[in-house]
Amino acid sequence: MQLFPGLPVLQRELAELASRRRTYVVRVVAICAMAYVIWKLVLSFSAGEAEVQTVMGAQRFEAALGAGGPIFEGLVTSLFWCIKLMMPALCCAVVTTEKERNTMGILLTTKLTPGAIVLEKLLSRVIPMLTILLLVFPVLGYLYSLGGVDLSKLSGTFWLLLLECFLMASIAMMYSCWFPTTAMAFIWSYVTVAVLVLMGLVTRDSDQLFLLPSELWDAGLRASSFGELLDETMGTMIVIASLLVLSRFFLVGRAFVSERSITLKLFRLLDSFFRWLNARTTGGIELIRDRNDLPVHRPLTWREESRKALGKVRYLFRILVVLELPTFFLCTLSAIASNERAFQALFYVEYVLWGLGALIVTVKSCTLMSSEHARETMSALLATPLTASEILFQKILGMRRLLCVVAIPMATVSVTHYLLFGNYVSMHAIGYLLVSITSIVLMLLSVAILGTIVGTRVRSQTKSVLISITLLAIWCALPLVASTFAESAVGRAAYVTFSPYSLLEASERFLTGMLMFGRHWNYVDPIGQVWWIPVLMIYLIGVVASLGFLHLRGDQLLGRPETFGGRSSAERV
Amino acid sequence: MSSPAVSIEDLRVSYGTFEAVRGVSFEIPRGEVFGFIGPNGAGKSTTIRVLATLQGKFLGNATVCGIDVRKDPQKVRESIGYMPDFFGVYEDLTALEYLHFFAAAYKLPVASRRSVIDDVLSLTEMTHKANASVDGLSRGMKQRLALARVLLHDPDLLLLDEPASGLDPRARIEVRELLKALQDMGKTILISSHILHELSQLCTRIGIIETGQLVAQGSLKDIFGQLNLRRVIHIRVESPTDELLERIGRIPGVDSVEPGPDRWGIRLREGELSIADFHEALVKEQARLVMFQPEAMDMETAFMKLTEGKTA
Repeated sequence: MQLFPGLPVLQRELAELASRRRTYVVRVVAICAMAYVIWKLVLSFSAGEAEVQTVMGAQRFEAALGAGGPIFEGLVTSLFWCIKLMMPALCCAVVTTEKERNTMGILLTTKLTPGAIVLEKLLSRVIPMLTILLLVFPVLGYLYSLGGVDLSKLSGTFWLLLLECFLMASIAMMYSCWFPTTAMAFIWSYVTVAVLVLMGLVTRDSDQLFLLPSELWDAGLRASSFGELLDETMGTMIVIASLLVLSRFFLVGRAFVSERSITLKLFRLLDSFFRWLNARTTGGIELIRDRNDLPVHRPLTWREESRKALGKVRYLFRILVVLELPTFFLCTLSAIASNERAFQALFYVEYVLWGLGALIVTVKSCTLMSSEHARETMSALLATPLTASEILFQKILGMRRLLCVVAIPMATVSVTHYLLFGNYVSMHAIGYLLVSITSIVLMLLSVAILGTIVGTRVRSQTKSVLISITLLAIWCALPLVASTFAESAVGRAAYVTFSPYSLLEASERFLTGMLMFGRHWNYVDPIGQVWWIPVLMIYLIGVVASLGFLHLRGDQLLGRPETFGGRSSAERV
Repeated sequence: MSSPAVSIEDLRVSYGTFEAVRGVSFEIPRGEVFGFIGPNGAGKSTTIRVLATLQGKFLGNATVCGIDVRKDPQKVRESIGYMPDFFGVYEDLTALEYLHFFAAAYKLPVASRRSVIDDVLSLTEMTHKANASVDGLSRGMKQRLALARVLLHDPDLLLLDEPASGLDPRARIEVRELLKALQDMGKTILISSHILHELSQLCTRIGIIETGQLVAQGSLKDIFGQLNLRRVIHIRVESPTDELLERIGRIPGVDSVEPGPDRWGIRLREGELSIADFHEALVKEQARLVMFQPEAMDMETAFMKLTEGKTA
């Protein structure tokens, strides 16, 4: 820590990071992921493992010459993705934690300038990221020694990786300074990164100015010298500087911003606009007025549905319009322009909708209970005669409208597939529709239950959101990674079954493998014909078992005393 | 004979390796106001949480109105009104909606809800704030609203954890008066507080807890007797003489007399001579009183003498 004597914030942040077990877990996971990528790249470069040993070893060294190029490119692409995925998560909490702990005032009353705070905080997150990248650098050096990578490309790559780190960190830093909670900063950081990546994909063939250093790298590092490279990345550097300047102003201006729901605020703003518009156009005629009722039997459901932004029918209808309109447009476009085979383009829309739906439901479900902790209303609620299962199920029931709103665009894509198939009355088509809609329901329920369980155990809303998203990502990704080790298609399907992604793939393979490909390409997908059965069964049993667990172990989850046939949990211990 | 409102026997609560409550035992007969005193981290809130059925794991026995907290927590919840030491805010509700919300949570009959809520609003003098947003209420108003909430289902036992903390003097007096009214209604109240002077005016019994152990319990008089505390009374007489001072010093029950520039400080042995008897004895000694002022810091003295200032 003596390395940074004049940088107290950086010193403290690094000391805090060093004392957290999570830091080391993240490093180990990142390194394992990198090792896996390197292994896959080497395998894909060579015909087989045996040949790899020959090529990469000393037996036929001349055969390995030039082999570094393609592996290097694959590895660097993975590093760019690693930065995109990890840097926002590392950096988004850097200022919001100060706000959440109410230590922002203390920090701002020291002699440190806001600019210095922003820079030190930024460095405190970039340095750990660079240490992770540093671990891969020896491998890059080895690949350079194999040939196929020149020195200017190597140095240019290092520069672009550094810039990518700073760009991602400064995006997350700006949101961290703007938002009151880590959860909001986290979500918006990733949404921004996703938009930038999509924009890059859309404009990748045009002769444009590259914003993301990874795009410039993908375009083949056109600069012949480092000076030219600096010139080409000037735009990125200006963006980074602008984001940091904005962060400096937000750090002071929004240091004590309240933790009100931004969605609710936005909807109320829209309400006043629509009321004004209605007053001007119709003289204030309202066809459907808001019911101002009071709770009768299910108070928690009542509050979720009548007092929350993601519960009110009027507000949810707006979300439905925002989600459904573009989905409907894309589905219609696909229906007009495509033949039966080409409707697979809609699968990408389906992936996006499933991902978005899972994210919305996760955030909502894990804040159902953790918001009670955060607002210190949990004790009063738990001291009422409501049973634990009543509390949990009333809360989950309060999400039913949101689940429907999220499910409708997903179901729209499935219905489009069904309609495009052409033979509406065939058992296969109707079966697909039923399987697909059941899959959607099961996926949303699984995610909602997972989020609710995490929310009962984690008191902080931010932590519960981050933990739920992380668990969901691991749940989805781990079986998929494991499936790459499978040697047969059945083995792969067996692994993938344990990822919620299987619900999507199994229902689609039921349609495409069995019907369309079967008819036109004379191809039969034997796994697709039956895979949906175990997948639906497993997730149905899982959902029922989870609901049973919530019912039976609700008291334990909520921290109330439990009774086991007259003996207390303490006595059992 | 009816069971006591609260009975705790050898209560032990641990958080990991830290033992927050170490063998606490006490009883509160019905209709009493029990003051629970102790420094921060002494184990007051944990003990109250056990009675409120919020503590997942504990050892020992705890009953509320004869119902075992562990065996039938659901029934216990119907008999208690618990007010935590912080006021959680449903910022999206009005005071009326907040009470309706909890009325539904307490499963009050729908037909009688309106009148019950009107009654508790009236009792807590919150009727004029019924449609105000909970978020916008002052801290004192929020405490009153919380008291209104715990009264909704007419519980036998009120568990009030620091109800006066963070309140300004006026709000504190208002809460105290409200608690006196509840005491008059025959409610059993377990109240924890740091404001000892207020507890002494309200409580019929007290328990002093430090580092998870109960160091004293009983009525104020019992505790003063146990500690052999002296009650100090300041008096001023019309024509003070050394002879009168000597005669007062000889009154049975008077421990010592300290003459000051404008008053005399008389120390009475607690339990031997009451304030009223001392007053009568002074009149018999023909002392023409200009001022008669008993010191009102008795519980603070007891607290300081019984506790060592240890914290968790």
